Amino acid sequence: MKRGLLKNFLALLVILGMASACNLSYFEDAEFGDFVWDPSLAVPIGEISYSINELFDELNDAGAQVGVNDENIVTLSYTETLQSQTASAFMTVLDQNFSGGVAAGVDINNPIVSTTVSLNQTFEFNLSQRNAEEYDSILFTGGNFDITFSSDFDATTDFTMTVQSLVNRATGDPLTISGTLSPSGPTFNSNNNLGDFRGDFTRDAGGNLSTNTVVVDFAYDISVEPGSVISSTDRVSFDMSLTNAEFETVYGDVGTQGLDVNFQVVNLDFFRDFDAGGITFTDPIFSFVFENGFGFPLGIDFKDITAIGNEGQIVPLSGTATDEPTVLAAPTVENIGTTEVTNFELNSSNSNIADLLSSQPRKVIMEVNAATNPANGPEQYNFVDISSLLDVSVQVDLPLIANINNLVAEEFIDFNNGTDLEEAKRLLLRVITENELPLGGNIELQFLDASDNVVFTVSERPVFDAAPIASGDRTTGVATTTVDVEFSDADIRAIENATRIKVLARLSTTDATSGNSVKFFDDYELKIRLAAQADVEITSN
Amino acid sequence: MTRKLLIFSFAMALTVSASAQAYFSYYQLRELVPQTQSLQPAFIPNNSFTFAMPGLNLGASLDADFKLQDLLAKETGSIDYTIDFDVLLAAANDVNNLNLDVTSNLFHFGLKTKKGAFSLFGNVRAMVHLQYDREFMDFLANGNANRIGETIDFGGTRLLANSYHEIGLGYTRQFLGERLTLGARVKQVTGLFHASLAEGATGSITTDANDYSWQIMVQNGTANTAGLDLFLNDQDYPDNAIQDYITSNDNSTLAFDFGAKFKLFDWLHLEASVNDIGTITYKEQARNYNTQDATVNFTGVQLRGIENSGDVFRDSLESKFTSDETQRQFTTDLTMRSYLSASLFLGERNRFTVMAFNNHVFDEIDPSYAVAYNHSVKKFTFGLLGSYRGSGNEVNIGANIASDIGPVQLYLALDNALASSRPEQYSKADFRFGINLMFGYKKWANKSDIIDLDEL
Repeated sequence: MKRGLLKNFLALLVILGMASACNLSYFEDAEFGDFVWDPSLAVPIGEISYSINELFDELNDAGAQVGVNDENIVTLSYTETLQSQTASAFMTVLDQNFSGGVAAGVDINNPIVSTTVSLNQTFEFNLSQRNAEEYDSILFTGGNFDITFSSDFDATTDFTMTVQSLVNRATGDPLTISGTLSPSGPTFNSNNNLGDFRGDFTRDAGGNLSTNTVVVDFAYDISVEPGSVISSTDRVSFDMSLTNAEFETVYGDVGTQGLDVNFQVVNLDFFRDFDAGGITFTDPIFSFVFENGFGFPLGIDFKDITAIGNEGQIVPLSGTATDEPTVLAAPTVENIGTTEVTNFELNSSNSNIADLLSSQPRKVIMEVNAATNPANGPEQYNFVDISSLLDVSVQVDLPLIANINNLVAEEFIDFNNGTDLEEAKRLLLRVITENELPLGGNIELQFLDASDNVVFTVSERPVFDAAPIASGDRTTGVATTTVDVEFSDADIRAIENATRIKVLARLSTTDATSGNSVKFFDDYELKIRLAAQADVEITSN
Repeated sequence: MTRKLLIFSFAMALTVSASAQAYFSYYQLRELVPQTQSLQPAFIPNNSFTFAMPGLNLGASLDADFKLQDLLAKETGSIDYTIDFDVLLAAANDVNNLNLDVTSNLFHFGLKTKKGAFSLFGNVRAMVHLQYDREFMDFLANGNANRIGETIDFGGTRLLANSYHEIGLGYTRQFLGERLTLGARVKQVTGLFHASLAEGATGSITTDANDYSWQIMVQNGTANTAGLDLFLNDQDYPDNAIQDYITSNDNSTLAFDFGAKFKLFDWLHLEASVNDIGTITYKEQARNYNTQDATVNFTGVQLRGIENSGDVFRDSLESKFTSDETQRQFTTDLTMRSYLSASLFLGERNRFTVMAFNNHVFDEIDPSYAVAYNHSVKKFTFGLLGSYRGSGNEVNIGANIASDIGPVQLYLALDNALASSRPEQYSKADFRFGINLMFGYKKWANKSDIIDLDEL
């Protein structure tokens, strides 16, 4: 019995001993460390497609409209508007004075009875204007026409003046002024609002056709009382002044004179992205639309259009288009208030604008000179209406028909993905391009830090090849290019500090060295697919 | 020590998945420990009446095709461990299993009769089986970058996690004198928590050699769960929902254990058993996460104007699949286990046993083997055994012991006794431990073993 009990106690001890004999030193003071997952993943990142429009939009900095011309060729367009001076600035009725007087012509000394002497005279004045301007009539809207009468007579004088050239716009009557001058009141003033009158300067004092002629009839009666004395040289004088004249319409002939047109600077941002290399445009066009509201033809010359390069070099416009003024039609006097539209195109056949734009100018000074009644223009009765204006719109069209040869384009891209790379230890970036464009490119990437120091460079390498052109204008296939860019751990650590990427693209069109130009049709597409092999290290903390 | 045990226990829990759970050593306790009827229903206890101490009989078995230190790897010079897929890949076989079984005996009443025995018992059980092939671990360790232009097939990955409680009645009876003993147990099994991949669930990813685009194939892409929604969306349920669900739900079914023992000779006994025959149909708390069969190509995302690239990438990939969540009932097999053994008796006290075990998970036959020796005297037994789970796994040395102190029986069985020392160096660890109250040995003892005090 005791032996059995002892055995059972021994068994219990064995059980307890087995249970407590654990050697858990492996777990001694151990804790779960961070879980680290470090696979190498091959990942299709995605793709992005650029139509040719979008591609040039990226380069454009929004300075130009990217559109399509009639041949479905992508076209960059810049639009500016110019404007002439206003009619009131172009046309001014000068301030001027007219004077006259009529002497008694007889000596009367203390007549026995009251005696009346009547006198009259018609005066003719020339309306002073600038240059060779000749005006037939003016519809005034404002201004002053003031007349001062004065008498030398020791007698009462009743006078009447009729200004035949100023016709009341309401009544159709000429301006007539009557008054009385006396020894005690030898002067008389008449102030008239010029806006009430139409100036008619088409007749001379004899009723013959004329221009710029002001006709005035002046008459007076002298009442010589007994005891009064008048001398033959005594007279009644008048001084007329025309000041601050404002007009609605001026008719006549403005002669030949300049019409000021402001200038505009067309900023060609497109070229700002380019550095070295050449780009030659085959068929650029400057399209002008002139809307002339002045009542006279205008001659336009384009000689002052100039392109200014990056370093200030100037390329002036030249060619047949600059040989003689381009004539703009004008509305006739029957169509006052309307405009005549004249379209004009500067292109490679009448100017050197292909050379001008192939110089990759940063800006083009768009300046035209206008002159009235050009020698090569039509004879036309002139008028100037207060609303007359010359509006000029100009559109610079750059159809992308070009030869590009090692043209270096520069673009900056913000880079804020540095933190996304923390878990990457090695990265192989695969870029697969499928290019329908007749344009290939080598790319260099410079990763810049906040101080614009280069922290890492991906050396220049071909990224997309130009699509081939077998015959005709269009590309005949898709050029597929695959390029791998490998980043080591150290490279990635350097890139983490980058804030932006400077992209340098060296671009060349298909068969560029032959000098051929290619056409960029709007349905071309550049598809870029990105894939990556990434050694990542993802830690649980 | 407590801290170390906690860490060790946690590590054990993490290693969830295996395909053996043989409890070879526990099996050797046979008639001395009534709960071994769960392995062999034909065992008849040595005593008249058994009452198991509630909650004090429990066991766990964990085996894998890698060592614990492969899962909880330590870098040189580090005291902390981590899960390192590279280490797991280095340890991986072509096919790898990870199995976990946890059993707690809630109660056991045993009553021995003249020709056999009755039992009434209740257990809570949980088991997890994960099977994966080397290709899957290669993907986890190395990703797909070294398999560009190739297809990575995930078809070899299977998962079955099941937990349930069972209440059953067992009956064992001898025939042909005492030469043949047959035992059967019928159990009401109530499914609790479940997670599994559907039968035939498979997938693959092919990485294009040129643009690294993925061709992803999914077939039978359904994951079934039960009971997990109570945890995942606990805000949608009343406070006592989990308790009510565990206590009673609609996931009940019947299951069976069968066993036979034949005394070919007095010195050679043959035994066979098949346990846990049955299925559970999960009707309550069933959730099915379905992805329609599809083969999709993923070439990345549209990069124009992209923001939150990670989200866009994930959404784009997900959008290529048609997925839904349903609540259809589903049926899952219990993890059937079978034992075959032959015991050679050298006298009454010494027994040698050779045996084989298969757990039939994923319908596979991949048996483990053991050779055991036990020395038994009355209410005491002590044994040693060696077990082998096939190539790539170490031979395990186990031990078992059971003894009574008065009416109190203590027992402990380990298939890999050495695992208690440096457990990280082994791929299998298990234990079975319990305390029972045992009554009525004397009635069944040999007359020669009974001392007549009157005669003395």
